[in-house]
Amino acid sequence: MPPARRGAPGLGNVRGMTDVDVLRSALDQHLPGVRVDLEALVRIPSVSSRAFDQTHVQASAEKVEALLRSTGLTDVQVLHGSRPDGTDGAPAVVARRPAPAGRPTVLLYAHHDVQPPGEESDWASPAFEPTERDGRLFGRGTADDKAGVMAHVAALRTLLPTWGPDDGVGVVVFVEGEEESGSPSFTDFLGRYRDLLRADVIVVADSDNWDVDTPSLTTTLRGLVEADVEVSTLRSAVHSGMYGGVVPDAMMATVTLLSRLWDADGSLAVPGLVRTAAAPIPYDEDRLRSEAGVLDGVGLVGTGALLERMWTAPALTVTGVDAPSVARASNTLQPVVRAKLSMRVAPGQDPQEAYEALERHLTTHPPFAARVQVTRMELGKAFAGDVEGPVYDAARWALSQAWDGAEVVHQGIGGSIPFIADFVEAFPDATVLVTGVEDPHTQAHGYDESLHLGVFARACLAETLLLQRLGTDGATG
Amino acid sequence: MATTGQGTLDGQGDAAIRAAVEAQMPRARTDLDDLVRIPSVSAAAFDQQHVQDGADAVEALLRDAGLVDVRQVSGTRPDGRPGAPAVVARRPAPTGAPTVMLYAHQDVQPPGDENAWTTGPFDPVERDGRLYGRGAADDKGGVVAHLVTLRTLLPTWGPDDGVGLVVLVEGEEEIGSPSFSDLLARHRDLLAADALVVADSTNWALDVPSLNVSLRGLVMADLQVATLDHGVHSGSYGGAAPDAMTATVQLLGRLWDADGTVAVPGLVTADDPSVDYPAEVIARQAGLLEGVRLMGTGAVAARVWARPSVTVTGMDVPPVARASNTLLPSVRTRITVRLAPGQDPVAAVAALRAHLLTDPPFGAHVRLDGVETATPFAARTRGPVWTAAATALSDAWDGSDVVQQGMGGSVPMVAQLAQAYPRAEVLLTAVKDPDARAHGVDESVPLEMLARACLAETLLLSRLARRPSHST
Repeated sequence: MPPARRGAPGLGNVRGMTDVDVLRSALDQHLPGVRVDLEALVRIPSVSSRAFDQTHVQASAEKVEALLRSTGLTDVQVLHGSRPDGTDGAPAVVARRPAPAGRPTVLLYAHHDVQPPGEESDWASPAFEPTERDGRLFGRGTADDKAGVMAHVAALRTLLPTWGPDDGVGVVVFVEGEEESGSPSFTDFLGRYRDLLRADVIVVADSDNWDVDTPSLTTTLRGLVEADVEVSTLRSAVHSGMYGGVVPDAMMATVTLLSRLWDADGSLAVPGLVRTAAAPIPYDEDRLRSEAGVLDGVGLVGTGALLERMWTAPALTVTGVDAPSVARASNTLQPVVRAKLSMRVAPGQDPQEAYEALERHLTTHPPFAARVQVTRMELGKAFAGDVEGPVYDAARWALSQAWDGAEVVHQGIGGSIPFIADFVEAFPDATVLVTGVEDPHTQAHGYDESLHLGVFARACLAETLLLQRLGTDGATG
Repeated sequence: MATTGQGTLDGQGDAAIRAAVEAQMPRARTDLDDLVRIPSVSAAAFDQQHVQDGADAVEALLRDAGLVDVRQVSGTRPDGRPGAPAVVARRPAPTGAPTVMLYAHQDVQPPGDENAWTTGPFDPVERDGRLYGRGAADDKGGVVAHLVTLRTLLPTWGPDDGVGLVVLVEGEEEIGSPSFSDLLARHRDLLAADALVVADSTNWALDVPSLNVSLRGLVMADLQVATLDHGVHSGSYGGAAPDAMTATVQLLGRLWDADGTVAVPGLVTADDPSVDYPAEVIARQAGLLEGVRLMGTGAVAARVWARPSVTVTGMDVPPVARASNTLLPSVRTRITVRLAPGQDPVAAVAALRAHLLTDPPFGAHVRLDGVETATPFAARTRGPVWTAAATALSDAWDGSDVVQQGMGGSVPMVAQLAQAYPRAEVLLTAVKDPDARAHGVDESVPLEMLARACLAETLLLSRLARRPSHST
């Protein structure tokens, strides 16, 4: 165990304050500026979905590059990988600080792209105009995951000026620009820049906290299978009156086909999907109803423990349909209908295997022998992390400190962060910590997404404490 | 009074009428092209100025055809807004002659996906004997059939000759004629007629004309299904929280049995029609992909004409390209139900409501609103005008039999007209064939059929006419 270094603000007492207090007050000096920068970042509508203007993603990458330079990092670059189709991936920002001898390198991950805003009219304040209400900052990306970017910036602004060349830890900051699109160029990126990204600890600041008063480390994530299904019955649209009742239209065939995906209770009815048990953490129906905004009188779907349904069982959602809108509906039989399916896969199941099960289910005996074409889109691997070891101990300590002594919950997440599995494969010896700036009321991906500003400050502090600890007492062993 | 250009048909019978109609067809084609170029889509999401432009064009064409009393009128919709303009032209009936109403509509369906059209929907183009464009068949072709009839006959009729005429060209048929009942109530005397020729149906085949004997009714309604008060991350809550799309798919799935038969209890069916409509014929006409099975059971003609059907025609959800991983909190769909002849639409709405609102999946909040209905229609298939029409159609089609077919579609104003003038004979005629793709992409009218329809209508009116005074 290396000795604590003189001159570095370690974790001893300074003028009667604990080191935690010193770092807390140093961070507090930076938070107002961090808030201003977060708002500027949110104003850039960096939606990575390809239907949107990708110059905004480029602009947000450049903004992130400038923010990282502002922390004192000098080796900052904007890089691309290649997607499987050969096109350039979205711009990622990578910054490096070499590790002092004997110190670990910590990779700080976040992403600067965001989900589409959905219907702008659903938002109480504009999606890309950050607005504070009741201690929360509203706007697309305020939490997911521009707050993750800014947590890294806050920790580095606090620590780097206090670290001499031999102090602290090695740092790699990696801010991706296509996470919300399933990170299609990530595998190639990792292959190209493996040495640049190499790290002993990987902090992924893109997850949730149990509630505003209880921090979490996320230890399981579901995998993701995205597929487009195209159902066709006719060569072209025809009059619904002339043929309705005898000629099957694609919409009816699609509805019938999709309705086979679930049992009457809403459980997924696709054979061949794996379901595993979730940690026995108490979680009641009222909490789910409130978090998800389930309307009065509406029941939940599925069976078994709620956390199992959300964390370790498969689920499938129809997220988009290409069909005329109600306003533009005409009395025609649709010849072809396309739907986007988004399926979550339990930890422990290979997404390709799950995709094949879905494809088989959709293409076996389709209604009216309609033509059904299933196209595999994104696949993302599930994740199940190991929670033992000194890095986890350090993370638990830092989170607990930042949350005034609260106990850390090891929670699962029903969502997917597909590249985590790629990280694990590329750096099998690294410890992956999945931390979060979100809380259950964040509404990530929905309208009125928001960041709890108190949680954000705590997350910034926890990361600051973690980095300092990993750099001062050989916490990685 | 005999004047030049008036007596050309005198004493020459059908041959002269044939020649005179044929001479009108180039002009008719120009008029049809011009009308198709006006994108008179009556659906509310489209610019209604085009519907007004369509009415103005029709008014000018009717005046040009020789009618003097031409005007635009409109009724009030149930929601209090004014209806689309209808063009009405009148010619008083000579003493002892019947008054015939010639009905068509100049508004059209939305074009749908314009990129899917081979040529622009509002850019009329002829290919292989068919004129392509939205409205070319449904129903601007019907407007033109009336124009040809008028242009052929009016110059030959003195004030005491011919028949009384009411030409009615509606501008909102494709949205279910929402102001038509009010318009009828306001202008009952103006529109009164002894026989109604509604040129908006479909002929059996290119070489076989039809008189349509029944129309299905219609219920259109918007279904709103809500489960959550906001969209949430599909990863975080998928598998436990109910999303509106899952509930919608499950609910809509209850509308049909496994074989595609409508599964809504309480909807009536009518007697099976006597016409044999072979399955392979309808499959070809509709462009059914090879290997795809038809839905429902029993005689094909019964399934399309005499029984209800349900179609989901619109859905408010993000398109695939803009889909995000979100559980949708609410989903809206447009449902169209065709009703068998004899079905009371009010009872049909109640049946649909009961089926969709009872025990919804996951207890989702379900609402059915924006309900519009059309009453089905069954014609009386006897009477002097009916007989004359059948003969005229057969003559125009070189002696072909006339099929008394049903029609699966709905023309809401037909039942309203039939109710308003209960003694009038109603003739549902057609300018289009089953390949016309009315309402679909690449709608077209077969030009030879249009010419035959023009001839049949002209023959019919000339035979109903009081004989020209100078020829006796």
